[in-house]
Amino acid sequence: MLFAFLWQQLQATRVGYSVGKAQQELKSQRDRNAYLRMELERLSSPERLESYARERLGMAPPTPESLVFLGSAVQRPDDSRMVSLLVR
Amino acid sequence: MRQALRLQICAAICLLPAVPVAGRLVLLQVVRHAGLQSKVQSRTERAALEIIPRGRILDREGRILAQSLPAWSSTVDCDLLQDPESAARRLAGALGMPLAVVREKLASGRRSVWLKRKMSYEETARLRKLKLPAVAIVPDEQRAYPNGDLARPVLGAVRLDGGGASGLEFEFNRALSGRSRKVELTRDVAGEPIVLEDPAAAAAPAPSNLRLSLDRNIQFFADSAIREAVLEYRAKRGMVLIQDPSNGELLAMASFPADPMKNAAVQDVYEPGSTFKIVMAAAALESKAVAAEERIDCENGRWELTPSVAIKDHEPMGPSTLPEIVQHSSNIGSGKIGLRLGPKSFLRYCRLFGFGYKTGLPFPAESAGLLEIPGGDEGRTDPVRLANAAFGQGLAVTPLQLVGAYSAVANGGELLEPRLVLGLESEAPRPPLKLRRVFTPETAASLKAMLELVVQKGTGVTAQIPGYRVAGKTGTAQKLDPATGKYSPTDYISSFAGFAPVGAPKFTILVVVDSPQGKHYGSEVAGPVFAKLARQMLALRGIPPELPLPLAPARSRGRSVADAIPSGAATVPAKRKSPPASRPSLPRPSLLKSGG
Repeated sequence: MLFAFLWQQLQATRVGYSVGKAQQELKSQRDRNAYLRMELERLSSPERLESYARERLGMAPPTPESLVFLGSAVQRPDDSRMVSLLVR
Repeated sequence: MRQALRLQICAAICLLPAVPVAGRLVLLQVVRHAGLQSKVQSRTERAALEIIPRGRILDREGRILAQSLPAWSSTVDCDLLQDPESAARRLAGALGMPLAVVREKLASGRRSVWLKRKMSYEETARLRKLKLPAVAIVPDEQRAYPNGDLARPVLGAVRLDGGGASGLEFEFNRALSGRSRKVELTRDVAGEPIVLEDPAAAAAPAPSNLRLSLDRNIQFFADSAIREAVLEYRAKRGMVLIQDPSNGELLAMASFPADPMKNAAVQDVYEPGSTFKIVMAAAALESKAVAAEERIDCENGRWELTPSVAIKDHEPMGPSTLPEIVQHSSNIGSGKIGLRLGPKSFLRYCRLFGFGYKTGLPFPAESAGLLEIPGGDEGRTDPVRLANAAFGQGLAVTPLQLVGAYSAVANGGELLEPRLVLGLESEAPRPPLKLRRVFTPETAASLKAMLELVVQKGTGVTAQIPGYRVAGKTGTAQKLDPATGKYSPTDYISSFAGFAPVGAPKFTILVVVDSPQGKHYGSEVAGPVFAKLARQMLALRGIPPELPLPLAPARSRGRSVADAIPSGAATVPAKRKSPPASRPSLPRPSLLKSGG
């Protein structure tokens, strides 16, 4: 009886240790994550993306003229005649 | 018998060593219990400081505009330092601080000094490696803005202690505020924590995040456009506001120079100049003060209102209709209509548009503007002040008020509550709030037509965008020179307010450039900025053109495709909802011609 109780206490302390370790690990990983998320936001900020796209990739911002809009047929796929056209 | 005695002596000898042990136990557990217990507790149960970070500020899509990062601050206990010189050298190396600064801190004479506040993750790790017992590291937090200066005047700043100092950080300080709390922990001899309770019960409450109506990309366009314009014209400052006229949400709010302590678009006022003529025109149409075809004499560019005050026009005009007056931005025509409306009626419409009052935007130190015509509310007419007010001089508005007025025109006459904050992330979003109807949809349609004419062939041609119908108004206001109390001959405020596409307006843009040098007309300075932003918005939102693109005959411009097509044409749906024709295609140019 006594041994069983002592054994239980020992196990509780042992598990308590690992929970404490895990919590510390969690906290430090969360902090790290916050830093990395920040880095991600900073790297994907429009200012950086724009200069990267412009200078490194040679891209240019689209103008309204460079967009091609498909006709109303594509915008309204629920129309039965359109559907039959597409099926064919 | 002897045997039994021998056994007892043996047992007594065996138990003898237990006596002092028992005595010691009694001494420790009973006699000195309280003192020892507290000694143990002070070693094992330590309160740890836990920081619950300040909430994030997000854009409308949930992209981070402001975030708190865990940071650490370090203090040093100078009494515990054995070798200050070598410690200073090692600390300076680990923290990247000048050696002289560290030395000075350690020699300050106080026992405890802040070594460095808001240290980064890496700095803290390096400091921990030094294992200096005199140095204590405490958790802290640091506010970070991943997009740099983007929207900084809107976001504001936080103080060193973490409280909001200006902008939204200040206004929503309570909701955003992070807290620090003490957590009781049991630790072993080495200081490792042992968790003996349910960790879920001790879980930290999450901070609330603030979601704005701003769109990070659109804000970026606005920030860059106004920065470029201010630098190009060596102007004093500039503001850009972009609003969705259907729900009042502000998509961008930019000012340059970007000062986190001041948001010019909400807190500053300016004389609106001709962009304010929209109020005069709305009042004239609503109160039917001017008949549709009526011509008002614009005096060929010079009108002596009183013997000492003459009003001049940029473009001299003869008798003109209201649309022509707006189109060519005639001050004389506007002044005459203002006088005809009378001060009471004019002021009433100004107030209906919300001028002279705060919009109630949740932002610190919003300005109400300045709407004053002496004696106007009693019906006494000060002709000079009234005529001036009709073309936007002698009164002051905030950019926020003006963009709201143009949104009212764009959405058919309803003044909406401007919205910058959609709410806390945890709350359900609030629907847009209609403040009041300022004018009828018919008046709105006439105003739209006038503003479209301004861009087609009036003062606003620089705001044209091929393929789209754009409506807007230029403004070139003279600035009061504070030194002389008179209007400056060199300093102007150039502005442009407008919206697109006219058929179904998706955005209202206001551009204000204060004191541009070299050029000063709203059409030259602010018009191109408007066009640039509008083109970016159209491309970003993928808004299809309303008009046949530049290949089509020029005379169909200014008319929507639907208007230009005869209603009986076989390949064109008669109503919007009817099924599309068997061969869906854009209308052929020949059809357009027959319609025009």
